[in-house]
Amino acid sequence: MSEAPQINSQSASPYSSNDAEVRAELSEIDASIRTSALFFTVSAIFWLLAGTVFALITAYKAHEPSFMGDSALSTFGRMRSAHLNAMALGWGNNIIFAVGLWIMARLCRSPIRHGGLLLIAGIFWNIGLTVGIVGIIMGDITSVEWLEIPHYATPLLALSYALIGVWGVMAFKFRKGEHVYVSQWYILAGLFWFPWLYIVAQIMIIWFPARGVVQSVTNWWFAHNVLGLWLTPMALATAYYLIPKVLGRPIYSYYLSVLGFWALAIFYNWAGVHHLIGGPIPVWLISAGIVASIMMVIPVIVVGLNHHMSVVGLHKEVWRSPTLRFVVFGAISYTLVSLIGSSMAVRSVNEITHFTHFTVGHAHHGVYAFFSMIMFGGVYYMMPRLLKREWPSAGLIKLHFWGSAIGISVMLFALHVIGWIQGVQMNDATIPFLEIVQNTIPWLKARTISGVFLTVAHIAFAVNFFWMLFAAGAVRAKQGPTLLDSAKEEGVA
Amino acid sequence: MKNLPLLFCGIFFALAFSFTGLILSSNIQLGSLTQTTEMQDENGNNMEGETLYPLTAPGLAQQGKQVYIEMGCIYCHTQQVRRAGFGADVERNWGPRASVARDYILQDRVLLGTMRTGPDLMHVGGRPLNKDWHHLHLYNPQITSPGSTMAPFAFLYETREIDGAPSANALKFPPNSEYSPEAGYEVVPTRRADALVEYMLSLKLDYSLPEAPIAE
Amino acid sequence: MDAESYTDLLPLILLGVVFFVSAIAMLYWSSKRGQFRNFDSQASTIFTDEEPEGEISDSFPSK
Repeated sequence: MSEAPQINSQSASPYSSNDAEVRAELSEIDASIRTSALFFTVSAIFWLLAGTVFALITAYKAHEPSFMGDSALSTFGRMRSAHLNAMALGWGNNIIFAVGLWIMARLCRSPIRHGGLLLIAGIFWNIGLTVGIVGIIMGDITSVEWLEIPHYATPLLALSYALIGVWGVMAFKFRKGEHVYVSQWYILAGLFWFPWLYIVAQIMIIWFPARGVVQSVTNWWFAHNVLGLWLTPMALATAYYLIPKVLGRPIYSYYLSVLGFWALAIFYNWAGVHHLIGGPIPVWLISAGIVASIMMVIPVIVVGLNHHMSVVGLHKEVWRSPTLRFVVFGAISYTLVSLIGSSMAVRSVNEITHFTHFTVGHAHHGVYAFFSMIMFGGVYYMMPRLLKREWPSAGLIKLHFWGSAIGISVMLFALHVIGWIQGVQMNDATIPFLEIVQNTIPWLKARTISGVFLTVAHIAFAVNFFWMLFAAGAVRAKQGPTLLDSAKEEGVA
Repeated sequence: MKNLPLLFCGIFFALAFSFTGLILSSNIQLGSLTQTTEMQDENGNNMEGETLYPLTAPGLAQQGKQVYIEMGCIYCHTQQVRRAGFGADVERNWGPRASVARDYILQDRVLLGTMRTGPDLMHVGGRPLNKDWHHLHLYNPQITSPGSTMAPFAFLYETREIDGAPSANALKFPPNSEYSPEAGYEVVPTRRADALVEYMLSLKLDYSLPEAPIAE
Repeated sequence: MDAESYTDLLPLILLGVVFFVSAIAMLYWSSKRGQFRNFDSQASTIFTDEEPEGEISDSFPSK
């Protein structure tokens, strides 16, 4: 079986050939996925902006409850859910379909087949999501965390998603060359895991509700795995590709990367139950969740070490690369957020942090500081290669980076601190509840301010992107170290 | 590992393992739970003639739960009580005992929640808060709980001119409240507000279960 | 939790053992098939002639 795909391999180093045909291969692959990757990136950026608006409304309502309070359309619960779904399924999934599948196509070394299928699936995904989020705001919200989208939109999402997953498996099946890179494992696994999780959760919670708290177990098995088996593998795949790629130096240890992959695959999917610690479910389930959460330290340390050792000695190069600034920020966040996450699963810590803003902060630490930052980096690397153009403005890239970095740091600080205070005070029954509520307000205001930073960052990103897309002919750099053309010219000469 | 079927097997089994361990097994263990009497005889059989718990919620409360779902209340309120000694749920009078799996078996949608921006509501119907209080609190939380960050749900109420005698179900504002309607007007709950309050009042954890007795 | 409630989980524990054994068997089989040969060389497969090893391939745009 393993001999079948060895179409293009040569003995020593199969891919360093002077053959012009091989040389053009990468461009050809990039060209074959250009349309769908552009579509997904544009969709992702629209959802990012929409999600940011919902986020600002939600954050402001948290300390000014009567703001937009005259209508059922804009309750806190609906705005929060619109924000979550726009970010996770709109921004997250679309940018994964763009960057993740682009990396997959490149690593499979074969121009993609059935790009039309991918595009159609993508269009249906975004239609389904739009219907779903409008449904949430209109009041058809399910109030099941991470699964708020009403039942009439989910079959379309599941179907279009499955098509994209099938496409990924096909790309892998028709790959050229014998070797498989660890990023491909992560992407392949994520593409397979997510629809499974999604369909099981839909069936057991929405369509044929399981009995009692079995729903809750399923809910958190799903919701935590969206993070652990979907967003995380995709971001790690991107980091594993971009860090060595940009630096021109192979990953520190390939063995470690493979160990990290299997450790994540085995432990992460048990961890979700830690969201129910102290809850009305059997103790052994919770214990399993806690053990798995703590075992997650292994893949995290392995991945962190591997990334760190790959970068060591090249910090200046990291800083000079817009891509790696974001990716390395994300990789460092991955180590931090995962270690904090593991400790939050310890019963005595969870007793405090459960039910507080600490968890909200933790979620943003994972999805924004880790996942989104790496994906921003991916876009900064991918777009010039797809469009054969430069990013029009270095200033806007820096504005994006600093806006995001400062914004998310302020938010994480505020939410972690007040979450901890809130948790400690809630566990002291002598402190009146309303007093605790009052204590959170200044910190929630700080979160709103951090949201302004993030908004500026996202607008800078969007402006730079659309400027590049529509008007870049005028600003295309003719001199200086343009990253694509100069490298190619040197190669030809 | 370079070949697809092998890689795929690994990927499949990784998730299959947790799916079996967490989802299927909890379904086996919890899926067959039924209502019971507060105490059982030594063979684990229900006492004859006694009430079966948990109780089925009345129809209006069921509709109120739908309103609770639509408004997204779950994002600030939990419905689970942690055991005494783990957190201060019992000390805060959020319930006389820890909630257990059996308490939720009659619910088509379980709303445990994960955030306590507001207090837990598992036993809110058992607290000394009457219908009038709940209506005022929903209409504008500042009336009953000054400083609360809960949003007003005034859109579930109707302000109308008093036609003859005031309506029996009109909100009873405290004297000189800044939130009272103008003279000659009254605030009455819509059916959805009535349902929601009925749901609040139906949430009670005032019964024992064999595995979770209320300590005397 | 009393001992009795653990017997319900016996099938699950058995299933776990089966999973574990099959994982070991799969690893053994794959190493026999040479899936781990030249393992570390796979780390270089991301480089191509267009974007070769030893060259920084990303920087801020010039203007």
